[in-house]
Amino acid sequence: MKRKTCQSSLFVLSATLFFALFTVFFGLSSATAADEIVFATVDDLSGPYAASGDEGAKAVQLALDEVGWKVLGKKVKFVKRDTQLKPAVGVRKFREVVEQEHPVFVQSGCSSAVQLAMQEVAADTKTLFWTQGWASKLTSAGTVNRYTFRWDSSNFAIANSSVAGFMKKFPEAKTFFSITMDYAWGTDMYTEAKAVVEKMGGKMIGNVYTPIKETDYSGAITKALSAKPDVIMLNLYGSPLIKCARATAEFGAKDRAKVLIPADGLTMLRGIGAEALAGMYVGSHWWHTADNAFSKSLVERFKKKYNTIPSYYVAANYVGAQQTIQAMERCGSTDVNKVICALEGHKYDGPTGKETIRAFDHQVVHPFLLGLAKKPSEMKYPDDYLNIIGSGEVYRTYKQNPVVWKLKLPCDK
Amino acid sequence: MELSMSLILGQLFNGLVWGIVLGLLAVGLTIIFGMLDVINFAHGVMYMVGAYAAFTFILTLTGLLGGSGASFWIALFLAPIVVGLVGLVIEFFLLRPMYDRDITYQLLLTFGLTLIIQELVIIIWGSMPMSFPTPKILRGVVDLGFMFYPKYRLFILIITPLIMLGVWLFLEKTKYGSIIRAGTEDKEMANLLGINIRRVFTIIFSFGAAMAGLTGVLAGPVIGSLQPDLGNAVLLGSFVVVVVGGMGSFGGAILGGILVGLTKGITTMIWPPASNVIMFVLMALILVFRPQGLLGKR
Repeated sequence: MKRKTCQSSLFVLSATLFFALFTVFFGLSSATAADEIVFATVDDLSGPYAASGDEGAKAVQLALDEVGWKVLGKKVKFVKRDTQLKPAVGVRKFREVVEQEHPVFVQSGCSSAVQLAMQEVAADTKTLFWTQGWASKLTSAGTVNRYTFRWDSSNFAIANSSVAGFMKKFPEAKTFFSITMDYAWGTDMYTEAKAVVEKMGGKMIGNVYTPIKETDYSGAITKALSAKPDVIMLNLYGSPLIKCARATAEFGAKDRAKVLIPADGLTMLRGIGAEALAGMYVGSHWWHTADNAFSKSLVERFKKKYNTIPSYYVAANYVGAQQTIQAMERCGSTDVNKVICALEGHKYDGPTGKETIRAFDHQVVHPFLLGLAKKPSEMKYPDDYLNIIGSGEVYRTYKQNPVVWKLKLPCDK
Repeated sequence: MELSMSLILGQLFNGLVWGIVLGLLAVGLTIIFGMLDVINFAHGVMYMVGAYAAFTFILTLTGLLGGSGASFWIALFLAPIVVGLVGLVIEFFLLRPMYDRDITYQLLLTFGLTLIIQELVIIIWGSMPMSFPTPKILRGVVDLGFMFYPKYRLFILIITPLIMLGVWLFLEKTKYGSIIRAGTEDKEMANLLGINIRRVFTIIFSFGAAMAGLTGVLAGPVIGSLQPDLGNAVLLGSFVVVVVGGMGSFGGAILGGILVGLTKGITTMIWPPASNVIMFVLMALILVFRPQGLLGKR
């Protein structure tokens, strides 16, 4: 009896010791060391926007490569979380990564719906948040918070650049029919586009809302074509845009109307294919042929590391990470309040040339491009899809968007 | 929105194309169920592998032969064979031990295969969308009078019933077809009469897989961009078709496909948000009023 008790208590003791060591060891290796800071991507890494989400993560890592993964003498750790294109999951993962890793920089941006939800977490957890969602609301008075910054143009800017630019070039194109993704970004894009169309003397004669996960656009195209518009506008993004644009080409729409895609990314153009894309008008935040030192260097380094040409989403997230790192170096701290002050109003050389991080709404102001897709025979290399035919830079002014920050900082004048 | 003739007929055509693709997929599914009593959850990934394999064949062949003219047709022939071989391997090594066990084993196996194969596709081809080219002769639209319609979609409407007819003729009119049907009716008796039932089962499963692969290739140009989650959406639809038409019924699979397709087409016209859900409503109605399916026997 005595031996058995002795043996069993020895067992319990060693088991406890083992578990204690196990937890400590595991706890140590997953926790961030004291002299480490964390940069995080919390974005759509699976689902219809996965290709873009993946690019965003790569972009942040490229920016970290540039500084040898060290900022202010501290090592940088990079983590990522998948929002699965669901606002609720995005919010949960953001909170989770804040609790576990205390990041000093969080990047996101594929889906506006997810961004609007995540933005609140940024304010709640006082975390620096770079978003690339396009919904105008993200930098609007009443919804934007001081922790959020955005490089991508808002739907307002997109509509007033690509749609307006298109209409100026083709004043005879008066009637528009649109196919729109039925969620926060799509409906917002449609509203802004409609406003611009009507402002410039045109008419939106119809619109079809399609579910986010829709894969078959033959119905929407058929409706569009039977209305006989001058222009078919595709307010879609990600793989839905790919499928819809291909269906548009498949049904011979290009011979019966002009096709305008207000905004998109290189990954989508690859999915659509040169044959289907040829002759469509395509808006873009940035194109890799941009003639400035920043773009040339970014394209070269991204190609070298990942063997592929970067889309605008890379440029956007790279710049966000890079400017954050430089702001930290400027103000000598990773404290979010100081970094915000260092970012506000800062001018720098960016992907589209001289860019400014506007202090009053944290929107980076820069030109938005309009392109025309080349015929396959005109392309000199596989990603040579567009001829850039115009650009615009129209953002909401302070009068149109009177933002008042809830967070008061020492740098307020 | 005024319902013009072109709109109505156009939507019906669209629905029919989609429905007939599901029908072809359902035929493979229902054959496997009818003969093997196996509910093949992996049918969706077989379809996807068919599309991806064809994509690779077309890419390679276009490099060798130039222009995606002949390469699509060669891929149409080769890809289903590849998928059939995959099916053969699965049946021989994984499925066979499960026949005598509870049906849950088979379900778990085929479902698990779905997950594994999906990840394998991501490993081999990546998760970025890839553009599936339409064969040269079938590009462009045809003037049907009331509207312009894509040539390739019309091609699907013509070729798919021919394929189904071919399969039906094989099952009904050939000697091997009658062996297969005998095996379904009475396994033991067929075995006693000297038919190698185990071999028949392997052939049936790989045939069903090959059919799924063939559907994937045919659907490739219509899907447009290939992504690793291709199989899921279509699997669900094909199951609905099988339930509506009757599990194990060949004619049911075809009829179910047409019905589901037309219903979707009409719904897209009248009330678009319901178009993806309507097939489940249809399935629910069938289960309530005629649970064995329209042409089902059991």
